[in-house]
Amino acid sequence: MNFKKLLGLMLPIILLVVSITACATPVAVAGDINDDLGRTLTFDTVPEKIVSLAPSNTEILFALGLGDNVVGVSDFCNYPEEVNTRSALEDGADGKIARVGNAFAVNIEAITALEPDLVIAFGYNLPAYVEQLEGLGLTVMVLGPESIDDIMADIELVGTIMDVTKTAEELTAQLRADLATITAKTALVSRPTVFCETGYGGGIWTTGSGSFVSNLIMLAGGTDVGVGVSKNNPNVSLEYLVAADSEMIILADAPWVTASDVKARGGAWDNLAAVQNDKIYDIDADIISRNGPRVVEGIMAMLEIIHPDIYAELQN
Amino acid sequence: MRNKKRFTLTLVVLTIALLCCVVIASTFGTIHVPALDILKMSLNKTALFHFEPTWTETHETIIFTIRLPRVLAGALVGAALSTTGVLFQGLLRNPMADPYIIGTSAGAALGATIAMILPITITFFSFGLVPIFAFFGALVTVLIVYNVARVGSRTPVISMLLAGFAISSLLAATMTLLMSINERLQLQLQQVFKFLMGSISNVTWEKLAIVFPLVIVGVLIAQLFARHLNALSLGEEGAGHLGINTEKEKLIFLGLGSLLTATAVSISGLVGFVGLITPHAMRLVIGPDNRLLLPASALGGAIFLIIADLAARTILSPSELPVGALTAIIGAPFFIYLLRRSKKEYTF
Repeated sequence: MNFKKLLGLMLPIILLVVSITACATPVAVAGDINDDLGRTLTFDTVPEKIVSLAPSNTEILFALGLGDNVVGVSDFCNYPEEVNTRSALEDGADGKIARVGNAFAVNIEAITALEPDLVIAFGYNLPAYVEQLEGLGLTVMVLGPESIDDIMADIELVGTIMDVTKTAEELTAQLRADLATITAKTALVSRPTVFCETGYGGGIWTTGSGSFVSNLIMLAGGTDVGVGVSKNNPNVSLEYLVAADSEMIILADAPWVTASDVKARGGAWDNLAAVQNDKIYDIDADIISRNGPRVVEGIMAMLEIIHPDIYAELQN
Repeated sequence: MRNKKRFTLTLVVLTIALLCCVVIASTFGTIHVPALDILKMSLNKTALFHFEPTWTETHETIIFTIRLPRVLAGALVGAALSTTGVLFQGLLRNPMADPYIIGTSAGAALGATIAMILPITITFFSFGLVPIFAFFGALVTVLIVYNVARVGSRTPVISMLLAGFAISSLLAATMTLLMSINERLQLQLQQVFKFLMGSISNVTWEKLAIVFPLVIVGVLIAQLFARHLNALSLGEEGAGHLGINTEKEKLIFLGLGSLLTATAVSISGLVGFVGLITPHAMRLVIGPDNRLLLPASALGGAIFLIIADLAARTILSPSELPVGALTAIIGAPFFIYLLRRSKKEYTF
């Protein structure tokens, strides 16, 4: 049999093989990827099925238009609305999204059953879970952005892995532009003092120095009085609060704690300027506590409370 | 005569020590207010003196609205828990008995947890839903334990301990279940944890106005029955021979102790260790006679908790630590020292 005839026979097979491998798109950027724990991951193909173990990760995936790749999310994931409408208790078949537990209790069985190509865990997920999932042969990437720069980096990282680099860069460019617009307005304003309460009971809770929420308050043109406490034990004494006497109190523990609850606390609370001047405001904890692509929304929500005039100006 | 003298001397020394502790603890806190200023503003309060204020209004708020009520609350909680410790250790003839042994802690914890889930806000004399539920959770649990342990007209001590253990376990498990299925509790884990560890961080004069008479009356009534507690520690049969109606006494001590504990829990959460160890430490120093042990433990517990809370609010200031963790860290070494120093064999 001559060579040409052989080639003629082989050609359709070669074409078939090439077309099959082409379906599993190779990763655009060759080489290894480092996640937020500094672990090195190698991707040969673009992952198709993804399980996300934290709301911020889920929001990054959806913001990049990768919602269809999400087959499982944590119990706490509730944004965008599509997560709720598509979520199901059963496996992720037929475009449904399975619920696979939360940061403190990950359902290993449910995740394994979904056969994901990639599990995106969160910084708070216990390391034992990450090890266990990897032991089961799954690829686990840990994203734990702490600053706004981290969020941008993580969005671009997911973009690279998922071969949507351009979308990711457009998104981060847009977020950076929005941030610049806001900070240009807030950089030189007078900064009201703000106390952001994240919980009340067995003490008064805030987020502390260098925390994400604290940074958002700063970017929105406020001064966070909670910076006096460590973010590792952000439990603040009432004495401290009275001495700091912030101009406003923002309730990130709303809707469970309301302004009238704060006013009913009595004692030294009655002496606080924010209580006397009725400057107690609710905020949606989801948008200010999730280190994800809604960060600009979080700053805008703070801005609406701290500098309503600038907020109105930016809305126009 | 000699005994009477010793009795008076012990209580006078402890009372002076308690007053000193109240003063010292009021001078230290997150915000530094000079001791002289505190003295002057206190004297001004009596309306007999009129010092020019060298302090700000905020300082006055900190001392009189935050620190002083908190120090006094520490004293009341310490006294209530230590008195209950003496009552229950004598009643149950069990050196490991603490105020929580017959289910009060589990009942209070479950009550508080349920209150945290409920989407309603009620304030009753400045008490929120959590302390109110904790208070009744503790009392209802003791009632259930008492009735479960009842055999005919008697309530054997051993049944009471076992029923207390079984019902505590049931309630604790229920709480764990609630915490793992309720989203709101998961978000408030820190707060649940803090309640379990105990903390006296939000006390107001309004709350004290209710807690103060309850604790003082409870401690005084306990004192009236001190002689009967001595008899009970001989064992039920022995006490019966002395002409004491043991069932009635048991009910009194149980009710009194539970009320004191529930009251303490309502302003401090579950502060551990103080109720278990203060009575033992006092026994090592003054002996096992309940007539002296009861008031001495009340004063000793008050002093101890004031010191532990002072540490809790100053060590990591302006953050606060749960006082329940510090009671053991400060108290255990002190107790071990007493135990080692005492040459005599321990008499319970």
